[in-house]
Amino acid sequence: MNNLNPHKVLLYIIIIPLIGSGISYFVGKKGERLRDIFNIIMTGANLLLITSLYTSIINEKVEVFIPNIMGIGLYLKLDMFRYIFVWLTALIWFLITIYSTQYLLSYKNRNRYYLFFMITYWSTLGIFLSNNFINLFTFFEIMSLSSYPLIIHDEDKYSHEAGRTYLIMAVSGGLVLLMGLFLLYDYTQTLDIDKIKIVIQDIGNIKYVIAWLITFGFGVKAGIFPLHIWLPKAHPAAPAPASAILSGILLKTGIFGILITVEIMGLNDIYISVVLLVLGFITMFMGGFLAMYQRNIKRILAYSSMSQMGYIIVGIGLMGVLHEHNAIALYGIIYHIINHMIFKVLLFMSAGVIYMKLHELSINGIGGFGRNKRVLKICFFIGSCAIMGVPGFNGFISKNLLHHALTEALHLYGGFWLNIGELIFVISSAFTTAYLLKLFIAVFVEESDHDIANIKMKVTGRALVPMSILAVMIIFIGVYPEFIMNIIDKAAETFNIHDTLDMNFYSFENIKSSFVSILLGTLIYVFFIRKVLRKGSGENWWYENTALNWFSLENNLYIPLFTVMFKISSFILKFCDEGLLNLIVFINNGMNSLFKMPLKYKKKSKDMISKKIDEISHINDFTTEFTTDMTHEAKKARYKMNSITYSIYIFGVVLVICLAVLLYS
Amino acid sequence: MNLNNIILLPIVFPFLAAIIMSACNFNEKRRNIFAGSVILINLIFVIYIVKSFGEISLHFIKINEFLDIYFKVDKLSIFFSLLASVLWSFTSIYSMEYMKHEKKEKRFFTYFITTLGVTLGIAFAGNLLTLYLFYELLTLTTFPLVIHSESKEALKSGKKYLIYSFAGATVALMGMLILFSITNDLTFVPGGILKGNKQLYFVAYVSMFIGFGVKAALVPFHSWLPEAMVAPTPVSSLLHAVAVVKSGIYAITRVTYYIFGADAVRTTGANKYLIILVIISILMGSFLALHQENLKKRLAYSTISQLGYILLGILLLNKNAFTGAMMHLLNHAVIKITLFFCVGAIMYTTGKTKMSEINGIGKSMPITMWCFTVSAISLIGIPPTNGFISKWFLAEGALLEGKVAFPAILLVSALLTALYLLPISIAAFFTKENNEAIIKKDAPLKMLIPIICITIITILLGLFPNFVLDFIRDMASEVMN
Repeated sequence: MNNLNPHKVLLYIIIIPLIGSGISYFVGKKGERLRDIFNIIMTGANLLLITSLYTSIINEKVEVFIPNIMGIGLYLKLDMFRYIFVWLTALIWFLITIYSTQYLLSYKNRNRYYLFFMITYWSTLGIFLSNNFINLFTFFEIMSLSSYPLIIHDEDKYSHEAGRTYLIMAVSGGLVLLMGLFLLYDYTQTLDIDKIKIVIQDIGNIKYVIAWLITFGFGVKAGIFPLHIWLPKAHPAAPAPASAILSGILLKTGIFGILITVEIMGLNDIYISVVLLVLGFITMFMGGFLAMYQRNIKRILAYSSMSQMGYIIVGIGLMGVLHEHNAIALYGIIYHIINHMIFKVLLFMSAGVIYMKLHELSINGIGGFGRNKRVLKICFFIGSCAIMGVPGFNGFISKNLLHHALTEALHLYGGFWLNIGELIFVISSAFTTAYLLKLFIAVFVEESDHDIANIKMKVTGRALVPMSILAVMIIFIGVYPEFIMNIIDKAAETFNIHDTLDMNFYSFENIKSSFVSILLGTLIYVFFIRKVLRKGSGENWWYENTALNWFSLENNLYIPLFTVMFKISSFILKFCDEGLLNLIVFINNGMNSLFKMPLKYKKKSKDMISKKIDEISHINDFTTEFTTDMTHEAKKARYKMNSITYSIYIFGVVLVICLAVLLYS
Repeated sequence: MNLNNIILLPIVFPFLAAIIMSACNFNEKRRNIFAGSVILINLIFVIYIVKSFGEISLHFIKINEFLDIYFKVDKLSIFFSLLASVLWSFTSIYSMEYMKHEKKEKRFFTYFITTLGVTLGIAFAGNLLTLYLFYELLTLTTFPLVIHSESKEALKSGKKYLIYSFAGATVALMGMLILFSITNDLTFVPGGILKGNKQLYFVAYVSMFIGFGVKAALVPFHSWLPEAMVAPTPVSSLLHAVAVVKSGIYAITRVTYYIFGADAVRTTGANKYLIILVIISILMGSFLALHQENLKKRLAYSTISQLGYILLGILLLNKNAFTGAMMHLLNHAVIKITLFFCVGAIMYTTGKTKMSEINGIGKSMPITMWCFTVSAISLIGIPPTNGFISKWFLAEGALLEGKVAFPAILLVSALLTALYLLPISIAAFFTKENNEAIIKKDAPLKMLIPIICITIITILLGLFPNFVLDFIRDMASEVMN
């Protein structure tokens, strides 16, 4: 394996999923089992290839350039930082493929699903490997488009609505990103990510505009407030493995883009960081807050993802604020990304297992189901503890790193706002505990009057194996953090951070702060969620979602705003469309009515009436009235002009004029 | 005999063939073979001329300085003539099948072949007079194609088409006369033939731009285009992709860069006023396409918008924008022709013409709708397609001039394009059809093959554009410094 040239392996990694998606589509037409086996083998092989690159990446980065594709060529790079993303993507795709072969048995259109699933895989790998902004943008757009069919897979009204919001947000975000790229190229004349770092400082204040445009574009995908509106719609609509991919990987592509932009491109700056901090805190808070009200399992998990992305954005903001001390923020960010990928996918897979059996996602309908399902309970428990940050699980490590970064900033700068930030951090962690407790207790602990605890369900191997692998990873990373920290040491070199971090994770301080937020969360659960949102008593209970009537960003702001703009523009442009025609028709009608206006005039005429009777002949003066109009008059005038009398008359006039001209010139 | 006379061959040959076709009475099979081979032979002639002769010119009839029929082959002619010939070949195969529904094929093919000759005359024109002559002929030969079905609506649209075209050509003629009175020369020379700064140049340029712009569907003179949708689909695709609208754009390019030259146009300041009309075209076309239920009308308004892109590139007067404009001329031609062919295939196989009727046809006509989707994504301008490349150059050209608003307008239009094109694909593939059984009946082979071939060309242009890009860049360097 070590004899393989790493450059060639990099190319294989990119090509295999693309060709594999096509082959799996055609194989699937022949036989479904064959296709399932093919897919599992293909993703597994890709994972092995990527793993084999680890030894080379430890030493140096690998770069590949293929000229002439799309005009500027394909520029791929793999260093330790990107390797983390790539390896986790490959692992999760492999595990989800195994899971999907079980999950999709009750769905239609499986071939189409796998086709777009693999194309999304290919484009996601492309995003993480691209070293040129145009390649990155290309793969980003392909990923947005190829994940759309996964979301609307069910093809019912709700899926189409979710898909519509998703697609419009994704396309708009992509176009805003493109505007940023246009400006960037105009000022720096290059789009290689390495080269931009060198020239970016000279271009002045326009770099803020560029940074904001690009961050907007990536932020749509990462679910930052206020661009997050597609998140809670798309996750419940998609089948569970697709939701897992959406939360686990696709959100991270947005984060990856923002990281590349803000850090590597040298746009690390106090203004950008502060705004990212603010947005991150808002996202963190709103995600957690809204998650408490929801009753649909997947929607709770979706808002949870939004909240966790908020943590990461806060980390990115802190990186800029902390300047030389920013190592801890970076470690926190990368560790949390790794953790979130693992535990979110585990939770979505568990939710999917429930759906496979019950075809119901609302906790009002599935309450009490998990009381005697031991395996499922354990998986869910591990996943929940991981997010909550219970010591011994991986979330504990990353949450503490981020919290430390925040307190470091407090030490350096102090001030009112950072204290508020600290408060929000603790409260959001409490919210996390609260909504997870709500979910866990309602499904796995409480008794309910639905008689479903007795429905037997065995978690089959194809769902069990991936989930257990992830669960084991969670505990391993939680108990032995040095393993990941060593990897991050190498990855941090991309950000020019060379000092290694020496932290004692299981110190009393850290465990104490962790328990504080868990305790707070439990209190919120008991006093708020159970008291306010839960109705009914005994075994007959249900949850209400009072947040449904609140101000909805999408329905009460975006849609009315765009409807108004649409109506105004339609009016103006319709005017332009028909404008010329209406003008001409108007003039034509005007002229017509003008010329057909009746003209009355009196004409004195002498008429001779001569009758055959001799004596009577007298000359009468008649005044007769004619009605005529301009058209008639014009006709008459033309007729007259053509007559011989007038012709001779005119001829004579012309001759006289010629005579005069000749005489006087 | 002067060897340069060979330029006349691809122009005159179609006329002769058309005369033969209208005189003899072929049956269907013979007529198809005759028409197809005539167009293919013409394509071979054009390729031969381009390859072996390079840049040649020919004064066909020269009476005095003004009345001079002059043909010339230069880079822009090669570009346009090859585009026209190749797309004509595909359209002829398509129409062999399509016209079975429309009847009166003999008349159709006669004028179809003639229009090819006229378009090549426009492509090879060496001065404004020749261009104007063939331009007017183009209106005449496309008129019978537009009113082909002879219904009341068709006749009305044909009348409108004639009035608009001739009015436009008259305005252009006025510009030409003013120009000739100043410069005494109407030949196309890269970089322009004007020196100095005279007020009359402004009037001449604006009148020629607007006059030729009528054929290029410049707002507010665009109304003939949606009305011309009553024509059979091969005619609509030809009108909207190759012959008529692109001839208008071609004429404007010649006037701007080969008669006036970029600097002279900038000095007259006419481009500032004309750009307003172009921006309105871009936005209005995309916007009003959203309101259309009929698929062909939707594509017609889309054309108005896309032609605005090309005109914007021409009016920005720098190399990047010019490259973008010429790339988009090529890209839009191939994309639009595919879109129209697909819509025509839907109409031919199922008789459906409206947005609301096409739910679920992705299952019965998968290949057709796949090609439609690929072309639609190209038109929106999402990488890695060719539409992205032309948009990139247009935006960079605009930014070079310091106008940040123009790329933003292009992107707004791209969003609108996505909003009116993607729902068609989504309805076709991802919506359940309304209670009809799915019979998997794709378009007939003669219609499918051109669709697939042109889609492949679209994809190749997106992935490996350097071949065409280098050629266009050479053209741009010739014309500007």
